[in-house]
Amino acid sequence: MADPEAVIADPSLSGHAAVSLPSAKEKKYDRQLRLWGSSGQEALENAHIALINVSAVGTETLKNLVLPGIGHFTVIDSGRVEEADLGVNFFVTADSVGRSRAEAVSELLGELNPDSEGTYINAAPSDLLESSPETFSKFTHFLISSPVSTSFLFNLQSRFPNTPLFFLYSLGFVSSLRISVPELTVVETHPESTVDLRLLNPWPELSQLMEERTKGLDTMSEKEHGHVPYVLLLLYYLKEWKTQYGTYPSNYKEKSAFKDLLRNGMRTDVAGGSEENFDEAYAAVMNHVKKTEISSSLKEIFKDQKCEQLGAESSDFWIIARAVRDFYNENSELPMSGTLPDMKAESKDYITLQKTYRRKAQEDLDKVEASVQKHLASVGRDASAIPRSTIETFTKHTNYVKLIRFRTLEQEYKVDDTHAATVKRQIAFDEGMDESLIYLTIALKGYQKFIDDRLASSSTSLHPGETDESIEADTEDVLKNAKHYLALLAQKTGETRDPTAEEVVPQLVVDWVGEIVRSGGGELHNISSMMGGIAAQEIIKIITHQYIPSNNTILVDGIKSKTAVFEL
Amino acid sequence: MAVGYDVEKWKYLRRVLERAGPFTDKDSFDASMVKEALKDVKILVIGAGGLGCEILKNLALTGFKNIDVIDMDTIDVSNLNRQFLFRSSDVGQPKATCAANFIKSRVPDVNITPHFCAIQDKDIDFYMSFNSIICGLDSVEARRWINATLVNMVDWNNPDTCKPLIDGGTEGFKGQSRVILPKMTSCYECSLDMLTPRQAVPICTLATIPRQPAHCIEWASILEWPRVKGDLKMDTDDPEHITWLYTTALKRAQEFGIEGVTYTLTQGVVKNIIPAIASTNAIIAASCCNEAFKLATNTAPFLNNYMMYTGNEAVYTYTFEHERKENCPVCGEQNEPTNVTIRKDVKLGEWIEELKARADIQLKRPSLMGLGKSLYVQQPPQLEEKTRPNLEKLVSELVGNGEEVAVSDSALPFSLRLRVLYE
Ligand SMILES: [Zn+2]
Repeated sequence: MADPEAVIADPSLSGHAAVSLPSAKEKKYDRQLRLWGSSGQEALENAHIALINVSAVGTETLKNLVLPGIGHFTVIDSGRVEEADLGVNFFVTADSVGRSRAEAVSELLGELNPDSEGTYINAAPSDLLESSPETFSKFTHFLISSPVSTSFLFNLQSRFPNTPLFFLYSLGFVSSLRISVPELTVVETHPESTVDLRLLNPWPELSQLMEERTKGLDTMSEKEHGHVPYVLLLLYYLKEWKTQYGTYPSNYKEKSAFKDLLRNGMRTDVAGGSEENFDEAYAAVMNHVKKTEISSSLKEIFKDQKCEQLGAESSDFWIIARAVRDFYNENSELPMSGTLPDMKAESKDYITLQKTYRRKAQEDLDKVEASVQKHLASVGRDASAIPRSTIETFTKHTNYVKLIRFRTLEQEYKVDDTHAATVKRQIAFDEGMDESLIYLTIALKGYQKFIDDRLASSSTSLHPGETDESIEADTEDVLKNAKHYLALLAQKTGETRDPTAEEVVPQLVVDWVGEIVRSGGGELHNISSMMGGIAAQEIIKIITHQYIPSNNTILVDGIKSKTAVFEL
Repeated sequence: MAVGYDVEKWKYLRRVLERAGPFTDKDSFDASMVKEALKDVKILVIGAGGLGCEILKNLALTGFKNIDVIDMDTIDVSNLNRQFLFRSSDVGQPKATCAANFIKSRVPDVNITPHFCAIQDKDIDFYMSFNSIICGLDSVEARRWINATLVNMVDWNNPDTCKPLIDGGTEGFKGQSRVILPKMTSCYECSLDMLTPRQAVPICTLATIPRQPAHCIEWASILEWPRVKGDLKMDTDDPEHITWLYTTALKRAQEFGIEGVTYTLTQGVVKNIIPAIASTNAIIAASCCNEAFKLATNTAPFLNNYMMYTGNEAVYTYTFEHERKENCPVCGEQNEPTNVTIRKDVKLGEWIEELKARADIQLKRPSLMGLGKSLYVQQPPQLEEKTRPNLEKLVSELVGNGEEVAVSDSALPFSLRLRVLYE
């Protein structure tokens, strides 16, 4: 976000003499830049998403991507705008009835934001994939809305296994989103806090600062005593505790006793009856007096084959992860984030303490950077190929970085063992509560099979429940498909049962099938709009590599106003 | 322009209007009446901002025919990343009017009436004329006002006076939606303590020991501005004013060795900016409108009564029944004062600051009335001047043990009763 609109030169400001003001773009995107910053915005601007099949849920999702400034989008659909679209899709008008649906919606979506470039292809996605698959290679993300055949989904994903894929259903009061990305690494996960005070293993500089600032603690003036930063107070009393007991307080009981020690140190003959810095120290005991444990997600990353074996194809993420692992193996601790929370203190004391933490973080970063350079050289890349700022973003978030490998659509729809076990486990988990939306996923499997059968036949109606007359027969068909899927799950999980016995379908599957057939394949705008918001959030997280997306299926129940996430 | 639903346009909507689903309450759903009912519903949308734009679009595409929208704001360039009914050429225009015009041009078979004014400018008759109200506001004060107004309107001799209030709010990737049936379910005031009031930094920190960039910015806006600029009123929308605050804060930060004062942060701190994105607004607005639709049609049971949404880490929703507070100052049946215990050495001015920070009070400019006397009153200025000396007096000098104090704010149509007890 360079080219600031204006600069103010103020001679009284030392150092940075020029004061930069926000650019026009920064003003327009101010409310979102506060969430994902200029790096997130840049990623968004470089993305090119394809909407495969026009639907209200698809255009609503695009709306929420065009507004924040996604670089490009392409709409692919061979249909024409119908009268019925006017009642559910905001991006068609009465004038567009009969026109190419892809063209009409891309026009009205493009109008939302001049920064976003929209185009369309008036073709059936499955034909296009057969006739010119190269068309799809320019897209960075696929957004697909039902109805499509399962085989189209498989084909698309097997031809473009590295392109993140989002698959949507929106049927009456229910909706779902399936996300599949082969490997997603997130550094900026935006945790609530990245504070790591190192109270149980202070480095010499920090200990020295503590000694200096707490010298003669008992005889200090009221002002001095009430302004010792709580971090230094904790270090002081921890040292005292260790001298007495030989170890640091570790369990709840010891920490409570340690809190008593702090309380005894606090002066109460002061205005207000207590000292704020001691109150802060007291409040920090349970959370901060502990050794930093490596998060399970970081452990997984350290153990990963990609961390172990670097090569020319290794991404920057893996090279930095490896350097951080080297650092950990050498120092038995992670590089410091350098973050210090605010606390009651004199300005000078606080700044000194903050600098001490920051200096340690910079020293750790130096070591990680050296290691990154070594690894880059060893895989034949330029040693300065990864900027220090990128490495620093990593070391500021080390314990919070995340790796997600999403399962493919084939793994789910062909019901591999993992899928079968997951669904069975979810059903068992829900036994007796009848609340879980896992039953909705089963009903949706029955629906997808119905669509597949209809697409393969020459039937003119595609969805179950399109007419009142067909409801009964269609419900039967979808239920039969759901039963078939349940039988497959049972077989995969090694359930032994009488093969002639009638498959028992849980009542909630029957209900959800009923609800799906009720919609006759039609969307309700509210539900599509809600899912459009959810899908856009997830797509933005994956495009920006910030925040943590859902793995891998999100369900929306518009009846009970709730959602659920399953890894299917 | 009254249009029925038996046209091709409403094919999909008709399916849920004509067919009961497995979860539909068959006793309250009447397929023969539902279309008539939906056509006649009169609904009020409060706010035409990020949530409001979405709400209007959703209602128009849900078959609602009579919609009013009220908003006192005009369009700013920073609205354009999410308020999709506006274009850059609309900057400076009233939001309510622009939004209504856009919807009418896109969905012609709906009546939308804009009101470019504050909600407080409308009288009870106005609010009484609607069947339900959807609120997409970012102001706690305005929500408290409309909530209290609707609760006060309820008259059980006439059940039509109970107007469902559907409220939505967002912040970054998070948001919430809820359904309030005045006097029947928990109201906005009942749940006020779920919002944590913004922690104020003590003036002495700002004045003498700043440590954070925000401290320098607040010093510039709270202390330096009035000192240097005198009576000139600060306008946080005036870039010159923000620039002055920014450079002033930056100088102070350099003096103390504090890093991180930027123009964006300055603006964020003085305007208390909450991050906002299109997608979160879409989720919450759609949830609100889905509830409005279910309330109007009984096609499926409606939300009872609160949904929280979090998108920072995966997607997480928590749907629960928020309980009514028995002693809610707005909808509580037992109108007992709240007991507050205070020390005898607390001055009235200090106590008022404490009260402002309390989660269940959160008043910006509270006035306090004791037994038959004004303790401190903000309006009119003569009375403020007269009661100002009380701020330096001890509460214990002014209020007896066990006596009641009424706390009010000119922006709210109710007062809170507190019973003072001394430690
Ligand atoms: Zn209440």
